[in-house]
Amino acid sequence: MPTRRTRSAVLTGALAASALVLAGCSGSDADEGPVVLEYWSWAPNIEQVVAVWNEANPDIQVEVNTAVAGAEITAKLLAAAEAGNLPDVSNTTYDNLPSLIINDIAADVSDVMGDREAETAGPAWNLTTFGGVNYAVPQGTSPQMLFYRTDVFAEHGIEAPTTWDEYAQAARTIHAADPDTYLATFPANDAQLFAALSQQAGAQWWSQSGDAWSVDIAGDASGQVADYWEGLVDEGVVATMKTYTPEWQAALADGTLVSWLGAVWTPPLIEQNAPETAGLWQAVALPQWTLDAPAAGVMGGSGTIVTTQSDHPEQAREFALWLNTSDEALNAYIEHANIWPAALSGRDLDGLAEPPSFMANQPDFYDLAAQIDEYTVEVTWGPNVAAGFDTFNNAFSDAIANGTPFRDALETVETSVVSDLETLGYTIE
Amino acid sequence: MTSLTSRRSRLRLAPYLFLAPALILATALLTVPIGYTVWRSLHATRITGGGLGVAEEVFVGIENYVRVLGRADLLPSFGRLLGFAVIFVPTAMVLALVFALLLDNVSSRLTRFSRISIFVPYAVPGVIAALMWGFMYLPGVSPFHDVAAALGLPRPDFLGHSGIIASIANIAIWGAVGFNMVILYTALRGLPNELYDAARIDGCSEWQLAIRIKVPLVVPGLILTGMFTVIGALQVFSEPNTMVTLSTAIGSDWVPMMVVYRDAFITNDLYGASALAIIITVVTLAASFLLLGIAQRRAFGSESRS
Repeated sequence: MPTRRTRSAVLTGALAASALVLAGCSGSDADEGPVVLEYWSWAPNIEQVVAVWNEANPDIQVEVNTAVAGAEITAKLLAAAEAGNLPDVSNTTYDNLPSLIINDIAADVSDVMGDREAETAGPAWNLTTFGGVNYAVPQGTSPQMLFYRTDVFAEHGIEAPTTWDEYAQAARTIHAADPDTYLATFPANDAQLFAALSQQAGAQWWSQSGDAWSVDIAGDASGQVADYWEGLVDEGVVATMKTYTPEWQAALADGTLVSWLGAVWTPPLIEQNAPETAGLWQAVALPQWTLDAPAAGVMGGSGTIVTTQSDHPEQAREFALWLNTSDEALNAYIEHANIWPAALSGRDLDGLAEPPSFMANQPDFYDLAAQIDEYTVEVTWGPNVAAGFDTFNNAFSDAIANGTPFRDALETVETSVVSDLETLGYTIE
Repeated sequence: MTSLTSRRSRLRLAPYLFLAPALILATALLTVPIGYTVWRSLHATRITGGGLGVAEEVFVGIENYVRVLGRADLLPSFGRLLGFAVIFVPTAMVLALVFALLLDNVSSRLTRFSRISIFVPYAVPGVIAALMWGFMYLPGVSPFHDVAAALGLPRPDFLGHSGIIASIANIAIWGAVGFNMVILYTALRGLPNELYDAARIDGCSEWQLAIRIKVPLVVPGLILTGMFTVIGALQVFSEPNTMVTLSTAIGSDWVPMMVVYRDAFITNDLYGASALAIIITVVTLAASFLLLGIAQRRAFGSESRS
């Protein structure tokens, strides 16, 4: 945990920096009183990031509303769009962005983002650009990583697995040595993880060519991942508890689970659930199917949209850009919310020279993140990800409970996603 | 003459004036929202334009109903609802009646305490109750598992597929018994003591007194609480919805109300959710009227004849 003193030091620094910015822009017309922008976000401590902006921009004041959780923000935005009271700016996860675009909520932000491709991390650029139009200013990327307990691995004489075969072997060794301990859990409620693992294996669950969409959820690449995990579940060498549940939190804390297929945002979550294991975790790249061609999937991440109903779109775009690309905002974000910025300039900031406090034993943590970004695959999310993920959760819960093939569950998801898209009026290839 | 007509017209207006507040409230709070939901259920968004396209709201007739009713997850969710109701309704009713009769029979200082302690769970919000019981079911923290282990018994699987319906029903019963009991107990206290005296003089045992005299006389109370319990069963939502994260056996389509919630707020299909909401409302109303009809013919019908 950062101490209060370091926090305020960074804030003071950021304030000083923004004061310079303020001195720089003096030509704005302040005749009509300040423009007020409403901004929705679920990021922790976002108020402190916005305070930096408000201090520097007396003409454009931003009011933050944090009463929205990441998972509900789409539902809330859809309702607000209908009521005609959308905020000016909002955060959204990448997988929900397409649904915000088709519902005419996310506006074109190309005039601030259009020329920033070279300054933006590749995965984030792909996730926010559709048909050559930028619909969001990307905030961060989330390179997939494997986190494991170094003490437990050392005890059993296992090295960090670099291939999925080694990973399976590690699962067997650990469970054989102690039947109460598992290398991992296969969580039926984590479609995001399974999607990312499938992407790593080469699957594109949604893709668009011309005006038609194609859906490949039950194809060979995803099937390979399904067979692999079904094998481990059948062998009984991985647990099947759901993630983000009390049972899972307890398992992380008491050492029942000794690794986690997570992403760059994982350390604070482990810290929250198992603070006493600080210093025992190590992050490595995901195990690979083929070592010569490393790949990683997309595991979360979010960006900032300007809505179509904003009365001050220009100022809103300016704020959205500042929020995700300026040094002072990113410094505050890194300090308070542990992000890995999509803006490449942000990656050289001092805050990222050191690993997250929970991973203090691994100084190269962010170098690893940057490396993984290099081979993260290009991903397109479709317009009905939420429905697809929900079907995934139910289908895989059933498959685990009834011992039915995982490939059948994938078929169920694909059928449902395709019929959903067809109902909406899309052409499916 | 003129004063007479004006008085007459005033008289003719009077009932409507008296009805107005109720009518306005009913329209604003009931008819309009239901009408809006019906309107919604007949519309949907469709995509126009290439690529991602733009969604437009169009009239689709009964398409949402056909789609919702044709979904593979709907029938199982009604099945689970039925399973839940079969456990929940009789147990909650019988326990409430037994507690009410016991409290009515025993006159001691403990009565007041027992009455309150049976009633208190009703005051505990469903979400809190579900969390509380959820942790008692959860392997790893469950006290029942410790007890079972101490006795050398197999660990009960509260959250697995086999036990989950009963586990959820148990939470709901725990919350519902107190409310039903208080209504039945009040009905019992309202019965005249002379009846009991007469019965006792005729040689009626306490058991016979309860079964032959008290129970038939509180039938109206039983019907009322029965109705509430059935409607409560059809609306079950917060208990399973809270336990979703605790059990692999509960999906987001566990009972019909959860399907509505899921469609409206997780998968963002307000139109399908509206259609399903209308279907569930119709089913609930039909079930309530049917039960009420049967019960009234049995109970009140004979009463009015006598």
